Amino acid sequence: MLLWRNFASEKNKKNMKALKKLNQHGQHNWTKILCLAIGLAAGMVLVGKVGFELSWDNFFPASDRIYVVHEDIIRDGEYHSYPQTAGGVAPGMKQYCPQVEAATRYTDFASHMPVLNEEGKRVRANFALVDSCFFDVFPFHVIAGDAKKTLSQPECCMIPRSLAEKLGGDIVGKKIFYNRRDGWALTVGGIYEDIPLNSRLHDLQVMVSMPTITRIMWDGRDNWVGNDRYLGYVRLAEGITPDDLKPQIEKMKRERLPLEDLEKAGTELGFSLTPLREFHINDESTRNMAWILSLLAIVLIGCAVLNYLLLVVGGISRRAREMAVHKCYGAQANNLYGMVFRESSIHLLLSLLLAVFILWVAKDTVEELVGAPLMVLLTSSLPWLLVVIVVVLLLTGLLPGWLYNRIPVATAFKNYSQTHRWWKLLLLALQFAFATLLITLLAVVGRQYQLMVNDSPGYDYSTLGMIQGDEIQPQQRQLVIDELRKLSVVESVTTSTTMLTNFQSGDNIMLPGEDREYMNVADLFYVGDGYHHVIGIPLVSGRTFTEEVDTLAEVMVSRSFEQRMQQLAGWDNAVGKQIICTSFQGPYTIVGVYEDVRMGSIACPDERPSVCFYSKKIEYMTIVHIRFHSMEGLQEANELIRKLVLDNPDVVIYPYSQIIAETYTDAKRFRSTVLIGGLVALVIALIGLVGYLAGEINRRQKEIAIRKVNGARTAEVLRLFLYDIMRVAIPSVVVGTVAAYAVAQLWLQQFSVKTPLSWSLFTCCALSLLAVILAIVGIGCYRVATNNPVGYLKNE
Amino acid sequence: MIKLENIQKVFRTEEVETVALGGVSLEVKKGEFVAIMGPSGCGKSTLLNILGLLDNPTDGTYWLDGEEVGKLKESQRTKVRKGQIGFVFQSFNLIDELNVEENVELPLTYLGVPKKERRQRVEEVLRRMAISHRAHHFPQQLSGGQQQRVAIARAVVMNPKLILADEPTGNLDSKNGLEVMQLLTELNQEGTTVVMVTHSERDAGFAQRIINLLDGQIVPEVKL
Repeated sequence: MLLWRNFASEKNKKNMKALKKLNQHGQHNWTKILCLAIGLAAGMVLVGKVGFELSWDNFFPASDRIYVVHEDIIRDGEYHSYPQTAGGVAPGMKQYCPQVEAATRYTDFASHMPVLNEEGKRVRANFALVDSCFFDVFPFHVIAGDAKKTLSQPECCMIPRSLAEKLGGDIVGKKIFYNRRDGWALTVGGIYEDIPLNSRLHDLQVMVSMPTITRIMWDGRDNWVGNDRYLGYVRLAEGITPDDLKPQIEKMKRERLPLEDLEKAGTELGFSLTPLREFHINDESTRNMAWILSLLAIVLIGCAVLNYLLLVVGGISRRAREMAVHKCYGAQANNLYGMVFRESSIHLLLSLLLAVFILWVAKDTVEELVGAPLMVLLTSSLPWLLVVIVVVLLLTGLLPGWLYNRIPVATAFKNYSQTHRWWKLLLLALQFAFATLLITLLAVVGRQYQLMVNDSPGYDYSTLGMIQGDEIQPQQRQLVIDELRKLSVVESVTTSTTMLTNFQSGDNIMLPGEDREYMNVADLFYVGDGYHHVIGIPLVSGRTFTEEVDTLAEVMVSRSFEQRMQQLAGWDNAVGKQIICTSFQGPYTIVGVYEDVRMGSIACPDERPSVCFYSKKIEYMTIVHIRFHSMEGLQEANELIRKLVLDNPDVVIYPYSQIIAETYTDAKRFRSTVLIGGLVALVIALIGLVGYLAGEINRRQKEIAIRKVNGARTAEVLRLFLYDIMRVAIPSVVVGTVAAYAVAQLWLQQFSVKTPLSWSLFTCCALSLLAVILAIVGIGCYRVATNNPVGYLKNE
Repeated sequence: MIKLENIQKVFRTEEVETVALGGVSLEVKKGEFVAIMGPSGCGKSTLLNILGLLDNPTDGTYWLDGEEVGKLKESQRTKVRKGQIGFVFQSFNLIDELNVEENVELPLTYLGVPKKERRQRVEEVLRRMAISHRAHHFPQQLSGGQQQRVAIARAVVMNPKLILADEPTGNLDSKNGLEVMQLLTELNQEGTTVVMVTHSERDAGFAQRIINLLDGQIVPEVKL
């Protein structure tokens, strides 16, 4: 006990000594700590984000045995695999494969829709039809109620804890209402713990029992071909791999699929399983993002560590004598390592505390940037963060110790003046390269974002607005449309079932009298009167839908549809031809061909040919589009909506520009992340430069004085330093620029429309950075270049 | 105690080779007080560094207490040095962040002396150096003479067999310089071997023997 107390007190004393050294002259310890803290704060968030992405769906028991059911289609020799299937597939796997312990499927049917409790309290939530086996596959904690029983009965639902709290807490057994107070009612049968953010299932909120399907949509829950909207999951028994299921899946296909019909249609259908844990990270955009964010994190933390080491090396000549004294009196290598390591540990600890403080202050901004709560990020990636901290500690703790140990004692006492200049220049060069990489990447990312937000989707949306029509009761919807049309600020109004900014549902196209499926198209479903005219989609041939003629058996197709059918069916033109569409059967006659416009977004484009149908039924029309003379009329139109739709204050006309900008939220977040990273790296690199300059000025002041005494002018003295720094800065900036080009190319792969990687952009960035470096060197050295040399010589 | 045979030290750079010591042989007996004198650049400090195991000779043999130590590695030199040799420098070389007590305690820490004993020994030596009242002051708060007394206290606190002093009065006024020399003489009289590099004839007068160096070589010994 006494020994331990002595030991502990010794340790405390050593720590106190290390703490005292924080203010040691010439060591710039607080600058080191500040730079390290900034770098760590930014780096930790990025590491947290990457760790968060890598941790998707691997946190619950047996998650390694859960697989996503895929539908594999080969049509016209082209292979596609979709993580969505027909309703019967997942339960079929359980039935046919004894190795499947449990299987479930669900399908979303409404997102961000209002849900009301019995008292009329209204919140928004996502809705999905979920079968009763869901909690057999996914062991999420059920807080109240019997999940199996609830999800087996019609008109019942399970809701997450957070939603239950918003709806009043004690809600089991009570009714909630879909969309409106007089909407259809669901009995809350149970409450489950919120599904974590890092799960593919996170968007599930109101789990409506599968038997309720007949009330909501066509009952395809036991369907085997078509209506591929179900997300299916299976949990395999221990030790079983998807390959072990192949014979049973083949049997299931033979017995359940109309193989002959599919063959006639030129389609081959199969099923496969993908590990749930790998599903998210195997997504190309996630992988790219994780890769690039990892690189950013390494660059940022690297910059901070390099800066730390640069300042250590800068202060080494001042401290060499102290280390020599320790050595004289018996300090061995391990003692010096221990001493430096202890100091570095304290610096790192203070940096971490400061980093946490920075993150706490900037919490809202950071969360907005990364799209997840900070605590979730940090906790889900704790092992990664610990690795980062250990690596930083080893680098900042061991390298300086090694440097100090290398200095011979006798040399240290002889006024040690070895500058370690090459070390410093190397560290500075790396910092310049890192800063260039991030700043140049920032320029590319910024331009790509501007391009995405401003790129024309094929129609003019500058004066377009939209209302989420399904928030207005159908009978009231028509009144709203009629009243809007009367406003002088409104040019025209139309309706549709979907937004062009979404990835559309799919349908297969056949010709009357043939079994062959020609292609899969994006189905825009129903559009209203003058849809193409109001939106501004140019007509290529034929005509648009009008109220005057019977358009119910008519269809319009896109130009790429016509071109594809010219290749596949030998059509000369599409107008007048008849087609059959999976969801609508038909035949329908093509009355018009419209220009292809962008569906989805540049980041996630739906590049399939498209079709659309006409409907007069207002209840199908969930989107109302308004073309204004100018967007100044938006306010007047919104005032009208508020007067007309009294029961739902949330109904508002959104400008299209806002909707389109929102589709690029991820790109905007990425841009902001790189912006912050770039600035942090630049600031750290410039602090390093200032530190280096201070050391160099100190080291060379006698030389400068002698030069000046011998006639050197200010410009010539400045040139000495500029030449020195530029020898390092120019190659570093070139290397950083080349690296930025490579990373930018990788990042841009995910977009269908890419900003050009022009040499002028890269040259501008490189020159700008060099100009900043020149300015810092110029300002930093101006004083010493203009001072009276006598002062420096006197000091000598 | 010390025996050097044909010690050479050559400093090499890419283009220049400088002979600092060109075959120095000497012997210092236990309990002796030896002064090394010579003009600047004659190799005095190089010789002292080799004697103090702060540097290795390029060639030759160095015996310290019967053990050959001239070719030891840095870590081995540190082990031999530890507790055996005390250093007194012209510029004191006190650690600015440690107070007087902590500076003096430093060698004992590396020797692994228990805390209680360390405290006793530090108190004792500070009292002897008449600097106890400054125990909690930092070096920057002391005069030059006080700083050198602290440096001597640090050098003797572990009772070394050998004290190496490199121009110990070089930065002091004559009064303080005299006090320092009296302290070193006292230590020598108690049995500690002292080797001192100096430019000062007066300081050298405290030694029993003067070794004169010139261009890296010993010129005929002078016995006082």
